[in-house]
Amino acid sequence: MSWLRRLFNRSRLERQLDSELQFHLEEQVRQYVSSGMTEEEARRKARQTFGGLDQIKEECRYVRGLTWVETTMKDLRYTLRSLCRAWIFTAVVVLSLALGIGANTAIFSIVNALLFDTLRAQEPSRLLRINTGTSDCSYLNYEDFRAQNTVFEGLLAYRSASALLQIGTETESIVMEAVSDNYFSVLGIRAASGRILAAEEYRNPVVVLSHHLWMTRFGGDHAVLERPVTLNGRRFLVIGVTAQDFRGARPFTVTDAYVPLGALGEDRDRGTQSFQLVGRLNPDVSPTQAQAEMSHIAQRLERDYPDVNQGLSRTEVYRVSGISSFRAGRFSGPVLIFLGVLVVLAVLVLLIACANVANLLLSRAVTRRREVILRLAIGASRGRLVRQYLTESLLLAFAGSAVALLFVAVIGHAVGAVRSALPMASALDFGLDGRVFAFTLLIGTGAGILFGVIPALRLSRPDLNTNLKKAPDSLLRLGGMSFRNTLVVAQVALSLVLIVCAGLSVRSLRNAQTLNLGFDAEKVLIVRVRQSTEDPNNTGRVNVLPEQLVERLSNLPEIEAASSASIVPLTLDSTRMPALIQGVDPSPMIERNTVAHNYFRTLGIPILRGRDFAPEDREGAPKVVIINQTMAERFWPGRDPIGQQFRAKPSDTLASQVVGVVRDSKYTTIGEDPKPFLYLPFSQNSQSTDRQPKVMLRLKTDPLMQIASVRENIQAFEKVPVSIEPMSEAASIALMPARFSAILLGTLGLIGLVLAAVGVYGVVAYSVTQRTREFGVRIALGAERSDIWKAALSSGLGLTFIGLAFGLLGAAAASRLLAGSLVGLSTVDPATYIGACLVVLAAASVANVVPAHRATRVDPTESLRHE
Amino acid sequence: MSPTRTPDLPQGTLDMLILKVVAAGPIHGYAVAQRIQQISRDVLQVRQGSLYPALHRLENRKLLQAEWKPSDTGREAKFYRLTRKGRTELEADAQTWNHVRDAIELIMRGAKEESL
Repeated sequence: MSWLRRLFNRSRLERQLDSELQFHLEEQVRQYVSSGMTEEEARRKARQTFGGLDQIKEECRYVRGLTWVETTMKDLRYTLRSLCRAWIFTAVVVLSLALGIGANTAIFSIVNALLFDTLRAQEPSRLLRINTGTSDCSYLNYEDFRAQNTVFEGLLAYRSASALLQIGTETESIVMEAVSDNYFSVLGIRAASGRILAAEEYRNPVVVLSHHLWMTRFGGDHAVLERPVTLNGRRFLVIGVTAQDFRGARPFTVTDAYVPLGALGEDRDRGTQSFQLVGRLNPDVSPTQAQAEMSHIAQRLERDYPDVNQGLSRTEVYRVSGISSFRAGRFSGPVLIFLGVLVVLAVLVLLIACANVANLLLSRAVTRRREVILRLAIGASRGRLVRQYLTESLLLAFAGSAVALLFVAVIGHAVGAVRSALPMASALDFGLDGRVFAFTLLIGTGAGILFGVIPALRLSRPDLNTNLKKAPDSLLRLGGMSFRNTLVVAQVALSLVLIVCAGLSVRSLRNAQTLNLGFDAEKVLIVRVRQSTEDPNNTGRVNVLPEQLVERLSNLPEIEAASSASIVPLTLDSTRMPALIQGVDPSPMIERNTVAHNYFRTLGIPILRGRDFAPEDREGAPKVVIINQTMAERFWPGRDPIGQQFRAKPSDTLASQVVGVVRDSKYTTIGEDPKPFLYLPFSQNSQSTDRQPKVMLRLKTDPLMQIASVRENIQAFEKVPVSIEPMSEAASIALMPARFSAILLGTLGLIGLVLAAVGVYGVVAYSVTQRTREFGVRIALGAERSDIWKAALSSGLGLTFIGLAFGLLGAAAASRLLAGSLVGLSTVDPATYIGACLVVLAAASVANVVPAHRATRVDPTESLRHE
Repeated sequence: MSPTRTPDLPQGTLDMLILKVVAAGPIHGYAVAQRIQQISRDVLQVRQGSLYPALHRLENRKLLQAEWKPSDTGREAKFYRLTRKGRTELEADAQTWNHVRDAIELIMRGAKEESL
């Protein structure tokens, strides 16, 4: 610290003060000696008349004005000493705060990751995403945008999809981007090894691996370069590895491999809308100018191709950061609400923690009242004391923040480990960056001031005279107690709010797990297969092998039904097509799935009217579709839907005819409302699907037991990479949001409950200690133990009930936020509320009973001797 | 100690007395106390507990300027000197003091006549 002193000139001033006063003393002594005293006498006399040397020094320092640093250092030293002495107090306070602040830091790191997610490319500030109206962009539209605009230095297109990567005998699901030829040059991404995609390789089957995939699956081996790997059953030549921190153009996720979309033959179509666009602005062009020009081009394209480009004119551009996506409305409502709920609840947890700490500080203040009175009596100013107490609060808050960061870092590490096991790795960086640190420090400081100010003011207020005269325990008694009671009521109320929200989300998760999905996934296996060698006419029928497998497997005795579909329900995958229906304007975009014969039987979806797809529905035969109930009721209300017709686009010569109506089921997410949905047969649509069909098997017995035999059977038929999983598992991704919220809210609730219980305990224990003498007297006068129980319990339980009453109101208000994300549950679900009350009551009771029990054990003689 | 009470200095007058004494030329703290005692013929005794904080306060307010130099005895001592700002302050203080003193005298004389 010496540099600080030097900086503020402290030691020089101190030395001068010393020698000035010393000089005075010496002069005085000299005078006394000259007037005839002995040296010794003179020295004594001089000392005597001079008075308290230290006091004078202190006053001189005071008028000089202590430097800010000096005072702070002093306060800090003093505070550290006293906190170390009361280490239990310190530990409880720091842990309380760490939980409260940690909850907020954790939530913030999620918000931070979402809002500050950016495309990790060169100069991301010049990159814009282009949202092409109501749907994704088709390739030919992309080419027109690219050729006709003058605002972008480069405009790229990509499509993100999952793919099967085969390494040796193992297959694994990875995330792939099919990319335009200029993808890497527009983003400014270099290769970490090998080379990136060059424009002239655009039609070659080549692949660029992500650094992450290269490291984890190929051990960072350079030998993998210029060697083929099998992706979705096709061989691709590995030409390079992307720079380490590049994660692909798709937001919030990590892409594992990049394949030129020319090689996939996807660069010919205006109808298939599957691409996302990102443009790099010319140096002197603003996003507004880009918006104007892109809108203009989009309007022209919509005019020129009205049947496929409906809604394209609503094209918007926005920056690539998370915040911009947020502003551009690209975050879904439920996500936003959920984040809001998390933030609100995390703040509640922090408030409970602050109440706890304020309470503890007050208790401590009471035990320190003699010290306060003494310091006030010897002339410490009130401001100085307040400052001292605030220093203590802030120091505690900083310690709490530090421990909180530690918690979050450890938990974040654990979460990272779990996340890497997920099929779709999330690129969200929940790490602790500068913003998270700043945030933690900010709320730590805020909390420190919040819980420090009231006790500090209260503490420094005691009237000196009355308190020196009276028994010191009257200090802070009345006012302090009622303030503490308020804190307890607030804590109980807040923790009830948290527990109710946690309870609702947990029950909602259970509902979601047992929800009637409209199909029966229990005995169904999903089989994904890929042709092992490159199909020479790959652009043709993608479903040859699955079709053969379905045929072969349906004959097995353990299999009840077999079929295939391009989309497995509840895997968050969906695709839509326009339906031009007479009398329905504007023509809607309807979600669809392409399925084979027997799909409905395999998934246990009842056919309500009409028939299933049949072998006669082949190419050339009349085009058929099967629709769901909602679609039938919405577009042909009161009419027989069977036999109704619609077209996908005006240019279609043949209309599709409805041949069946099936019961509604869940398609994309568990929380979705019933929506129109239609099914196309593979047999008439083998060209139009860009997804590999998945084989679906309904078994007669436990599907898990059959996985091995099914695999053997397939392998015996054809040596292809196969992945088999129970459908319930495949669909579990749809439960992720519910599970995520149940875990997060549950954790917050638990933390809140523990903190509140500690708070109740502290207050009751304190009041019991304060009343020890009273209890002693009452016992001495013949009070029964039960009377003492009653007396000791009543105040704490009374407060708990008041808190519960407020908490119920708060919970009813707060849970409204959750309304959208609850499955099969009202926000005022009585069972949850009653359960939550009981949980909080139980925790509060334990916190009450322990100190109350101590009250009944008071020894009358001891307690009277006490004080 | 002494039969007559040592009067407390009226609020604020200590600063003025110090300024006045220092106005005569650079002087150290001990001598300031001595001078005040001497000139007031031992009526006013400045306690060190007030003197030094006052000197430091005046220095802090830039009314005095301090300088270290050898005293008569050869020891290094802190000498105070009046600054220009100090001189203005002293003049203003003196004027106020005269007014207040006249006013107090008027009141005290009047009160005496009434009580007679």
